[in-house]
Amino acid sequence: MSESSSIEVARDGDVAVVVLRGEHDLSTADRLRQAIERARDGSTPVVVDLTEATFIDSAVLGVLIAEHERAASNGSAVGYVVGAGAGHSVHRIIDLAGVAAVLPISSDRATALRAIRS
Amino acid sequence: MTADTDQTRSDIAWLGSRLQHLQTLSATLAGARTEQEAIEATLNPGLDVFEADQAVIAMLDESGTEFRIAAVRGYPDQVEAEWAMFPNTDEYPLSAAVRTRQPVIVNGPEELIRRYPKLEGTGRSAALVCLPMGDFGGIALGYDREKTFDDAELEFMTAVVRQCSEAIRRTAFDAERGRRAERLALLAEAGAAFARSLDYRTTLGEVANLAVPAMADCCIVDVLEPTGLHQLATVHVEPGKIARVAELETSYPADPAEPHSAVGGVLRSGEALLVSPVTEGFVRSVTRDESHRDAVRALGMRSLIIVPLVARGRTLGAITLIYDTSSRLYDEHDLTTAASLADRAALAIDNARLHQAQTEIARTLQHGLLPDALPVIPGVEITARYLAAGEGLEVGGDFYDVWLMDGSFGVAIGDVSGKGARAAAMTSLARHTVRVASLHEPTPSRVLRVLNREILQHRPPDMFCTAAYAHAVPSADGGIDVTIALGGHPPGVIVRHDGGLEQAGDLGTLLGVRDDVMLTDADFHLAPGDVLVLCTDGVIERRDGGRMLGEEGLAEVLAGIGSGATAESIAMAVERAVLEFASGAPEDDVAIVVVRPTGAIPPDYADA
Repeated sequence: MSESSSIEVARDGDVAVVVLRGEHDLSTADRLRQAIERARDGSTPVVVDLTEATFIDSAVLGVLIAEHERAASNGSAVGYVVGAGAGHSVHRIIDLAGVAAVLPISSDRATALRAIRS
Repeated sequence: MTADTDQTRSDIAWLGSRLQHLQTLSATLAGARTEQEAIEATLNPGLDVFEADQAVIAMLDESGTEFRIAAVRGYPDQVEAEWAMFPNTDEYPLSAAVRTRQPVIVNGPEELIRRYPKLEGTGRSAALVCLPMGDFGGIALGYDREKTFDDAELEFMTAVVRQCSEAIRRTAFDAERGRRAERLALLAEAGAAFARSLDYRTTLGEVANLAVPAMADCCIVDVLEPTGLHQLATVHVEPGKIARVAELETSYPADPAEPHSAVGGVLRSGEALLVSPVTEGFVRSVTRDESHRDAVRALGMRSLIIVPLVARGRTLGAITLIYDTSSRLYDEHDLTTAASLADRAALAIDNARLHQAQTEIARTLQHGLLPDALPVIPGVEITARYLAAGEGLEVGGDFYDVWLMDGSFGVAIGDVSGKGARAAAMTSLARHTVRVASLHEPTPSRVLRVLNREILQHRPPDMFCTAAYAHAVPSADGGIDVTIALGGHPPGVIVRHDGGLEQAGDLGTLLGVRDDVMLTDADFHLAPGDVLVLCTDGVIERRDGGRMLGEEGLAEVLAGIGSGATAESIAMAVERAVLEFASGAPEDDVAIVVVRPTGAIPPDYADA
């Protein structure tokens, strides 16, 4: 299911950018959690870009919510990017779960980076 | 030609042939791969080099008390039989040579008997040179005629024997290294075998198969069952001997309480046992009577290891490893390997038992998550379906519920993130909270708000929930008036009796993440023959490679259902669509609830 998926960690100045590609579900949720944790490395601001993700399930959504809460509670920052190019189901699960207002979601990476630096 | 030149010539010829023999010996020794090959090589070309008529190589056994004949040349068979073993004392010339690390030279038969009276009456050589081989054995070279040995000759012999000793030591070392590699490979293989199977009987059968012949001639696995000690597996290099072991087990069953049981002792103490070599004293200590002793002696055990199977502080059984047919003896390295093997096996048994117990717990828990039976509501068909993801072990977080209230009824469906007991507890909380809140909260959105607060108060971190709650009131036309709220849950689908599809509910925030959730109530009417379908995301997220069933796929299935289809047949169609969309069990739990008013509502109920 996830042979076409990848999680990549890049750097944009002082911000770590975690890029999700392909399908992500229960089987890759733990890897995502670990990738975000490593990228944060204490207090580095993290932007998770889901624009190239074609599918995420509720387990992945759970990780995004949990990481948002963790960042809020320990004073670090996390932001999410769901660009227009993300899979239909990625947009849909965010709508269904009603988390667009709960999570700091931007529609492009530049906006997310600006938001997290401000 | 003078006598001197003749002598010189014959000396040169002799030297030439001796050098040639020496070269052959060196080459053969270098090519030896096993200890036995090196020993044989020492005798075979070796005898020519030493110009001896007979030769014996004897090795000191592990206990250091006896010599075992490793190879013989030139003696009659009956001598070989007589001399299979002899004690490590000064009363024997070869023992004396190894003990003193000095050559022992005997020039003639009278001298031999005078110095070594124990050899009186045995078949023997006239003259004898015994040389130590390292500290592990020695070689005796025999000559049919009386003979003297000058210093140069002895020096030569000592040098050649040293070369032979080195070759034997090297091959023994290689063999030990090989055994170590074998032991490591065995452990790796065992780990893989244990991971493959959750059935511990299969697992332990594999332990025995792996151990023989790599680590034992015979392997017995005993497991403590509630009914007592049970011999689970017996494997022997000579399958014919298994019957004898089994027979012994039947006549003298291993018993944890029996003081004369070696396995029993290990089970009681939890300590591994290494017996190397097996002595008469040991046999006596672990047998109950003379016939038991005879039966054990008949097995011909030379060395044995018994390791307990202990997992999480509980003794589950024991593994017995025996060398009998091969003459190998166990050492501390073998004991370590056996202990690792037992540790892994014990953990596998424990996991298998735990798995069994957890499946039971899961089943019981799941029972608490779902209603035993849906209430019968006059004039309304209600059907639910639940498909658990994968095997029974992981309790899913999906739930549904339907219950009667005063003149109305409630329908809830939801999905708690995560799996396992933690999620199950949360699911149970969610289901019952919705039910209780529905009795005093005026609207579905208020009911879900209560659930949101409840989860925020109780939930372990990283856990949230999606839920849909619908309140249904039978109406005068035989249909039902429905109010629904969605908390992060996919909307329901209304299938009108003419086949048209509509969305049931407005999207809302998932529950258990923050206080200020956005939840709204949506009202609609279901006329007789209209259908409300609620399901969890396991339906729409059902995937096959890159394809997903999706809301579109679900809509297609529902649009294809003819009017007049019962709630039961609609639920079945959705279930079939999920199962047939991809091969294999669903990766996520699936819950489906279908509500369909039939129009046959008794007037008194509608008026209530």
